[in-house]
Amino acid sequence: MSSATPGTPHLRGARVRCEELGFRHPGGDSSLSLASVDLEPGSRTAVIGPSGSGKTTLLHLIAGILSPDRGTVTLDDEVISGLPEAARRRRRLAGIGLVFQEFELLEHLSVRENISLPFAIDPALGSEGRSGRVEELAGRLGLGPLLRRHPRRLSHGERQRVAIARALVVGPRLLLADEPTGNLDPRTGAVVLDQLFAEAERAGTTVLVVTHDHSLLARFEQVIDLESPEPGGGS
Amino acid sequence: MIGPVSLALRSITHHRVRTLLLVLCIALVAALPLAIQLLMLRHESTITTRATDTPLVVGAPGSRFDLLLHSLYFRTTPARTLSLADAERIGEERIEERPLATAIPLFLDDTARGHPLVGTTLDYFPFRGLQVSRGTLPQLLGDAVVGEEVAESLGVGVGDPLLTDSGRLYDIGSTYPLRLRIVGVLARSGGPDDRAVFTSLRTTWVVRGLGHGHESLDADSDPALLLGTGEGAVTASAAVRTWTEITDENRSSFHFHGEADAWPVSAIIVVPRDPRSGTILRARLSVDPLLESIEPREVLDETLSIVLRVKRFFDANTLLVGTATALLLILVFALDWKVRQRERETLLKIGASRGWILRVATIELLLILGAGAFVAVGSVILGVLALDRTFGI
Ligand SMILES: Nc1ncnc2c1ncn2[C@@H]1O[C@H](COP(=O)(O)OP(=O)(O)O)[C@@H](O)[C@H]1O
Ligand SMILES: [Mg+2]
Repeated sequence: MSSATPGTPHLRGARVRCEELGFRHPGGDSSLSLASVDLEPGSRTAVIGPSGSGKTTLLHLIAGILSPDRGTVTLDDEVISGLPEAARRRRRLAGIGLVFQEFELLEHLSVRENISLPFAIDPALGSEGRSGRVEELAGRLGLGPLLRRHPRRLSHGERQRVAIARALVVGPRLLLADEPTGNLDPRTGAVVLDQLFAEAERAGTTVLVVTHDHSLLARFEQVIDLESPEPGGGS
Repeated sequence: MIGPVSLALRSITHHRVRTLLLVLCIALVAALPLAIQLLMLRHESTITTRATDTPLVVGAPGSRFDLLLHSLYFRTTPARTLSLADAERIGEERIEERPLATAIPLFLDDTARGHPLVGTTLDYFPFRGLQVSRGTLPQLLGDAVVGEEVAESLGVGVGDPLLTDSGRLYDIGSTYPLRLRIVGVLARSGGPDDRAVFTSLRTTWVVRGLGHGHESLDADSDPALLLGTGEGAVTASAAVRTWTEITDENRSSFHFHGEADAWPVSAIIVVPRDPRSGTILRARLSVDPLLESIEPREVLDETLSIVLRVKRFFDANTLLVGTATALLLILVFALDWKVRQRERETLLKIGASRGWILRVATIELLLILGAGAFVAVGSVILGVLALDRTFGI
């Protein structure tokens, strides 16, 4: 709902709608089912629930990494859950940023190269004005002096900020973060989350964050609790 | 900014030790068969060319292979020699008044500073297509022409002296060194001639001690000449006189004792006038029990067939080692693939296609294989160059 701050290109966050989602991992015993989830453009939503309740699965369904057994995932006006894998992958690469608990950086690449990874995968992505974008984003996240370093020589907080920069470098309309502060101490976690929110707000990006930390919930406009897996439900 | 190739390169340089081991492993396995193949090819062509170009060789009865090595490559000396008369007789063989062949006698029993000393006639040089690049062919007793590599390795040229070695080629014996005079250097021909010293037959006989001169110079006239004096100074100053020299002054005094016909010849290269003459001559020579005649190409082919059998064994061995290494490499790459599953999952989640991930992995594999092949080829070339320089193959 927030709009881009002046000085950056005006980008609207994505509207995400999940309806009657049902999914069971092949060979898995528990299944995930959700009545409906609605993410307003530019909104911030938290997903909570005990371990194994399906938080990551939900993120992967929205990202199009997984395809639901029933129900639909709609991104703006497009039902992406029905698209073939390659199409979902392209939507994801260009429009959805992902941040993981374990950072998942490539050890053999420098900070700059890690951040630029989406461009390496698809050189056509944001071909105009992308050269300055890496530096600009890194600068705002306090990574400017670290661009040539390799991940193993970074602190956990720095690593997660690199991962956030990688997720945001293509200017996604939706940011999905799976326990982004789970491997950080509370103070660093709070700072990193602040930066994530600040960056998302600049571009009006819609944000969905999986978290265990209930003290952070006040900072979200909406909370999805997967506590009771069977009936499922929104906030 | 970065693409699949640079991503693969980053991974290769990041896993330095793994890359180095893989590259060395591939290089080692590839280098040996490559080197053998290359040496075979090079050797085979230079060796067979010379054998093919030499239609017929006659020597004293004995090992056919030794005669081949002796007459073509100036290696080994035959146990028995022929005489100049044999060469003359073959040269005289006629049909309908026309000579059947040219006989080129060789006498090779000594060395000059380590290089084979070949006594022959002037026919030898045009027969082998040899020309002097500097100076002239040997005309006088004591004149020598040297192969290009001899001149290079000894650092000698036209006008320089060249001492023969006391002791025979590949044998221990004793003769007084003769001081030869280099009158010419042969242009490089890419064969054993480049590494040999050529003189007249008579000069080699002098070296062998079959002919000698009588000294007429004053022993104390000139220290340089004193060192160069011949027989006359032997008793007077044996300790000082370490070699003999043929000079303009004493050349005419050199003479040979015994029947001229009996002077030794170690092999005779026979060049038939035409194929028909060759057939007639071979038939005539084959009935002579005192002569052994060989067709070098035939003898060489017999020998090469043994080498080929050895090579086939080598090939089988290489195949085994190669297969084992290939399996090992597959194992290493498979383990690496598994270890990096997490990395691939991350890329998939971000939005990379399986095809793109496979492409990066393939580029990485090809770069490593390419580096291995590069190191193998590079080291083989360096090795062959070093061999060339050392042994003059
Ligand atoms: N690849 C998989 N195969 C089978 N079962 C899985 C797989 N991934 C997750 N599950 C199961 O699905 C359920 C939800 O997992 P997940 O979404 O990872 O939970 P959370 O992120 O909330 O901890 C769990 O019971 C888990 O064991
Ligand atoms: Mg999870």
